[in-house]
Order: sequence, then structure tokens, then C-alpha cells
Amino acid sequence: MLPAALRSWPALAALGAGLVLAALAAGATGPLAVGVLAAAGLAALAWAFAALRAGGPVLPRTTLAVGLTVVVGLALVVGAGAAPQLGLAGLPTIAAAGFALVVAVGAAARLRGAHAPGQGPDETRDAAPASASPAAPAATRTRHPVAATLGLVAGAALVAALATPALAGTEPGELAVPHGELHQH
Amino acid sequence: MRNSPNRIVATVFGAVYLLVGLLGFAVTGGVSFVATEGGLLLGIFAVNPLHNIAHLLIGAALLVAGLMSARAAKTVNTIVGAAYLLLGIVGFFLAGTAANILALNTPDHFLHLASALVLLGVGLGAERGGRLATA
Repeated sequence: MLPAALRSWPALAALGAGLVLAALAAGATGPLAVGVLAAAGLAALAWAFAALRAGGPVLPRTTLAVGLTVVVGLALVVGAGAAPQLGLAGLPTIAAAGFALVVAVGAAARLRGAHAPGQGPDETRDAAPASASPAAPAATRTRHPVAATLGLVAGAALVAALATPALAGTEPGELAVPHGELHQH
Repeated sequence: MRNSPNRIVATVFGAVYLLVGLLGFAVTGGVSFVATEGGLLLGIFAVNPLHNIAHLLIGAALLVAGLMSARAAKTVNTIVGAAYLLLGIVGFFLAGTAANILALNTPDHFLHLASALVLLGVGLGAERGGRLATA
């Protein structure tokens, strides 16, 4: 189980992954690459919304498997030198893999917490809010709200700090026109 | 107020966006409404008058909701956060067309993305299941 301050980070990383994967899909070459990246991006965004609403990683086994598959897949694409042919820039691809890794770590931590005494590892229970337990009727109350909120702000800043240059490095980012930007040529 | 992360975030972000919107007009005198070359607020954030108005409206909505109630703050936080993200994703697929209004490589967009993540995170993740602070 992740500390309260870090509990939102997998969901924030999934939002970052979803944005970067969607931007990579928009600039990718070939229908297969576009389809796979767009599907992965949409899945990451949907998972992020579900995890935020649930208060922690949902479907941890599936998430761990898919997250690691994305990391390994993107690493293979970059390692094999196939990224340029697929229209994938280096920084956004590495950033997407990094975000997916954080999601996988969050899912693994959730699974580890589920194996703690008194808690079962089954997917049904894993899909429930992270703070849920049979003796906790206040399952939807945020634990340590100050730490959780500060952790959320810090996590959002970190994700934005990586996602912003990563998005700028994608094809849509390079095509984006400035608005209100002062050019000093 | 102190018990509601949604009210705190909405109020703080609302005040900051409102301030940024007001200060923006100080550096956009003579800049056309949707100019692609505008002024730099605090030497960092690029703004034009349309940008300032968007900041003012978002700031006002967040501030009013934050001062009003936890339920209103949670709703506005979620809507503003989701709208930012959705507009960003739609924008990726409009790149290169006349409808594209994105610029992804300025400090503005770090601020926008971080704001969206915080607002969406607190809107969806805090005070879930109707357990909203009343004070």
C-alpha cells in the first residue's frame, strides 16, 4: 500500500501516459501503430479516472500486466531503432514508458497491500476503493487529507514537468501554433 | 472550508487564475484579441486578451464555487480539470489545421496541465461518495 501522499501518483501518471500516448498516436505512422497507441492512451485515461474515483489502483493484476507490457513494448521499439519508422520521437516515447512504469508500480503496491494479513488478493476486492475494508464504513473518506492533497499537488507538478516537454516533442506538439507567445527572433 | 480539499483547491486556484487574468491585461495593451505574439506575464507566462478572459472566467468559477460549498467546488474542479484534458486531447488531432489553438511548449502549458491534474485529482479523488465537508 502506498503512503497517503503518494496514493494519487499512479492515477496522475496514468493521465500523463494517456495524454502522451494519444499525442504519439496522432503523429504515428501506420494504422497499427496509431490503433495500438490510441487504444493504450484511452485505456490509461479511463483507468486514471477509475483509480481517482476509487481512491487507488483498480484491477491491479491486469494493470500490472498491461503496464509492464507497455513499458517493455516501448523499450523494444526504441531499442530496436524502430521508433523513427513508426513516427515516434524519443522523449515522448520514453516519457510514456516512464509513466506506465509508475502505474505498474502502483498496481504492484496495491497487490502487495492486498496480500497483507486480513485482506484477500482477489480482483473483486482489488477493484474496491484502496481504503475499503469491511470494518471501515468511512471507506470513501480521504485518509490524511493534508498529506494526500500536498502529494497530489506535488505529483501533478512532476507529471506536468515531464508531460509538457514530452507533448511538445510529439508531431502535434511540433505543429502546434503559439498563442500569446512572444517570439524573439 | 479547512476540512474540504475541494474547497481549498478551488479557492486557491481560483484566486491565482483570477489574479493572473487581471495582471495579464497589464502586459497585453495594444495586443490584438487572439494574437499569436502577445505579452509575457511575470516574464514567463505568455498571454493575449483572449487568454486573459479565459483565465478570469475559470478563476471566477473556481473561486465562487470554492467559497460556496464543497459540492460546488467538487463539481467545478472536476469539470474544469476534465475540460482542460479533453481539449488538449482533441487538440492533438487538430494539429496542423486552422482549428488548432494549442501551444505545448510554453510555461503556460505546464501551468495548465498541472492545474488540470490537480483539479481533476481532487475533484474525483477527494470527498468521494457524497462525504462532503459542510464547514
